[in-house]
Amino acid sequence: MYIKSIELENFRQFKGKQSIDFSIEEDKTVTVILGQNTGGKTTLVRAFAWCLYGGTPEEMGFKKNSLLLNTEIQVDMEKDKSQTESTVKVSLVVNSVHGLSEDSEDKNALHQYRIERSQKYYKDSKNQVFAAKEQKMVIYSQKMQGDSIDPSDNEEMIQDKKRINEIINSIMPKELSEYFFYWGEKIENIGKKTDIDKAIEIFTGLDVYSHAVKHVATARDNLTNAIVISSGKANLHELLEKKKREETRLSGLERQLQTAKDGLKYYQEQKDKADQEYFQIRDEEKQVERRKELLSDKNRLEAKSEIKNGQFLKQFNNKKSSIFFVQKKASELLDMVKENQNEKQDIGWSNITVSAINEILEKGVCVCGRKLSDHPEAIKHLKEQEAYALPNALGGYISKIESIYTYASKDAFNYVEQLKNDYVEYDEVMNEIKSVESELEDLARQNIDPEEFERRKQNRIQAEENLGQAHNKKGAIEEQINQAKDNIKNLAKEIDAESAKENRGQLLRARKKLAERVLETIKKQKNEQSEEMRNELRSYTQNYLNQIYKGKRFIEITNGFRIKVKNEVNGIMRENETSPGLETVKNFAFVAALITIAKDVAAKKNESSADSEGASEPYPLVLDAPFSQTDEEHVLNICKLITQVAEQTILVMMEKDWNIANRILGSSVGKYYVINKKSETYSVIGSGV
Amino acid sequence: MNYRIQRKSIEKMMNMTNEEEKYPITDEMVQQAVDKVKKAEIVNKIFGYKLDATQMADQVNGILDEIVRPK
Repeated sequence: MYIKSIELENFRQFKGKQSIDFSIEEDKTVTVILGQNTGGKTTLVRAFAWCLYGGTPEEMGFKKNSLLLNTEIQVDMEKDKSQTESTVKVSLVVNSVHGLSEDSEDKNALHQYRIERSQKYYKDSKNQVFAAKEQKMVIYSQKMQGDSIDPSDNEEMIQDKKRINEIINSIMPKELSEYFFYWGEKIENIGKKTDIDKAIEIFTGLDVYSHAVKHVATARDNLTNAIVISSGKANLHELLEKKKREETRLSGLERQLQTAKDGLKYYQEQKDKADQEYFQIRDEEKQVERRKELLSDKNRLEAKSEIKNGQFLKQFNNKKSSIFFVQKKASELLDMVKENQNEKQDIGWSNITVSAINEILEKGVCVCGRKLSDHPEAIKHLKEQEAYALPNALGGYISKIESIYTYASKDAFNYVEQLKNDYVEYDEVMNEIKSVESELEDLARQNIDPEEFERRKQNRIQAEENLGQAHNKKGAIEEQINQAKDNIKNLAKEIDAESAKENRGQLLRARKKLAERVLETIKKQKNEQSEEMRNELRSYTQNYLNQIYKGKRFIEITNGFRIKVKNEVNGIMRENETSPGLETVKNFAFVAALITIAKDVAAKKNESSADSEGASEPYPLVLDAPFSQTDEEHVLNICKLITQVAEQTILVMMEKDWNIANRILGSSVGKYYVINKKSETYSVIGSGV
Repeated sequence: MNYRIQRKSIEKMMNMTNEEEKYPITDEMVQQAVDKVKKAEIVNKIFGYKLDATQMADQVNGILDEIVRPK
C-alpha cells in the first residue's frame, strides 16, 4: 500500500483540520517533515497508528489521563457553555496495490481505502471534558483504475468491526506496524516482546493458508455431521453430540487461554517494570553501602592526616632546621673567606695556634712528651707551622670549617628531603579526603529513602509471584486444551469407524476424505512456506546488516519471527547485549528484509502459482527521528538502504539530522513539510522548501 | 466370538474397498481442491473479507461437492 494522505482534526497540538499529501511518485518516494523538539513530530507519527489501531492516550504513549483533544479546544469547551462537544479525527487515505491473477474475474481490483477514526468529547455537569467510551471507525472503499478512483465504482462504507479488522490487518497488521511506524526515537526497542509470526503470515500472504485450514476443517466437520445425520444411528448421534460438547469446551478453553496470555503479558510488563525499579534500588543500595565505606574512609584518612601533619611539624621543628636556614649564608661566608686567603689556606695543622706553638717551644717539650732539644727538625717544623697557624694564617681553620660545613650540608639536604616527603604524604591524604568528600556530596544530592527501597523490593517479589501464577494458569489451561483436543480426535476417529460400517453416506465420506487430504496438503504447504520465509528473512537481514554495520554479527530468526543478533566467540555463537546503535541498525536491516520479501512475494503474483497470491504489498516506512542513536556513517548507510528497498518513506525529523540524511535521500524527496510550533498547544503543518 | 470379529472386519474392509472403488480420491483431485480453496481465500481477502467463516466453509463444501460427484 501507499499512504496517499493524512488529515488530522484537533489531534493534540494539531488544532483544526490539517493535512499532508505524501509523495508517491515513482522516483520521488520520500516525504520529509521537519520539526523542532516538542513541536509534534512524534504526535504526528502516533496519529498514523491511532487511525489504524486506536488506543487510549496512555496506550499511544501520551501522558496518563491526558486527552487526544487539542488543549485549546478543551479549554474553549470548558469556558463556553454553548460548546457541548468536540471531535478528534484522523483520516488516512491509502492506495492498496492488491491485484488478482490473470484468470480472475477482476484482475485489476486495486482499492483506495479512506480510513477514518474519530473520538467524541463531551462535558460533564462540572464542565469537565471527557472522552466518549467508544471510538468510531469507518472505512470507505472504492476500486481504482490506474492511479485514480474508478468513477464507475460506488464507494462502499464499511462499519462492521470484523471486516474493518481484517482490512486493517491486510493493509498493515498491528504487530508488524512497529517495524514500519517508528516513533518516540525508540527504534532500538522495537519487536523485543511480541512474537510477530501471525503478522508475518498476513504480511507474506501465508494467512491465506491459515484461513484455508480453518475453513476446510469446518467443511470437514460439516461433512461429519452430514454423515452422522444421514446414518440415522443413535450411537453416532451420541458420539457427535459428545464431540460437539468437547469442541464447545475447547473453544471456551481457548478463550481462557487468550485471557491467560493477555494476563501473562500484563504481568510480564509489571515484572519488567518492577525489575527496572529494583535495579535502580540495587544501585541505590550500593550507594548506601558506598556512603558507609566513604564515611569510614574519611575518618581513617582524617586520623592519618593528623599523624602526617604531626610528622611534618615535628620534622619542621627539628634542630637541623636551623642548619638548613643558615646553610646559604654559611656557604656565602665560607666562599668569601676562601677568596681572601692565599694558597696557604689548605696547608698547616688545623687545630693549632701561634701561641700554642710558642708555648711548646718555650717549654721545650712536645705534646707527645719528647724533648725538643733531641729533635732539632721538630723545632724547625714547629717554626714553619707558625706561618700557617692562627692568627698568622686561617688555612687550617678553614679546612676544619669546610669539613663541618660539608657534614652540615648533608644534614640540611636530608632534612629538606624528609620535610618534602612528609609534606607530599600529608598532601596525598588531604587529596584523598577531598575526593571522598566530593563523592559524599554527590551521594547526598540523591534522595535515598529506605522505605522506598523496601516498597520496590516487595513490588518485585509480588510481581514475580504474579507472573509465576500467570504462567501456572496458562500451563494448566494448555494441559486441558491438549486433553480436549485428544478427546475430540478420539471421538472423531470413533465416529469415522462407526460411520464406515454404514452403507449410506459413501459420497459424503469420500468428500470428507478429500477434505482431510486437502487439509493435510495445505498444512504441509504452509509449514514449508513458513520455513522458507524464515530462511529468506534471515538471509536478507544478514545481507543488509553486512551492508550497513561496520562489525561482524550473525542474524537468527526465531520461530516467532523475532530477530536475534549473535557473535562468534571461539567458534561458539553467543547472543550478547547490543548497544542502542546496533539495535537500530539491526532493526533497519530487518525492516529492509521484510520490505524485500514483500516485493518478492508481489513479484511472484504474476506467476501462475496460486501459492503466493493474496500476499500483502509494498509497505511505507514512517520514521520519527530514527537516527538519534546512530553515528553519521551508519545514518548514511541506512539512508542508502532506504533508497534501495522502500517504495515510500515518510521521514519526520529535526533539521540537523536531515542535513546528514539529505546527502543520500535529497534527490528522492518529492514533498517537504515543516511543523511550525506556534505554542505548546498549537502547531501548524506547512509546506517546506 | 473369533468368527464374529473376523466377519465384521471382512465386511468393513469390503465396505471400504467398495467406497474407494466407487469414489476414488486421486492426487489430481486433491491438487485441484487445494488450488480452488486457496483461490477462494485470496478472492475473499482481496474483497475485504466479505464472506465470513461459515460462508467460506460453505464455499469449500461446494468445491468438494464439485470434485467428488455422484456416479
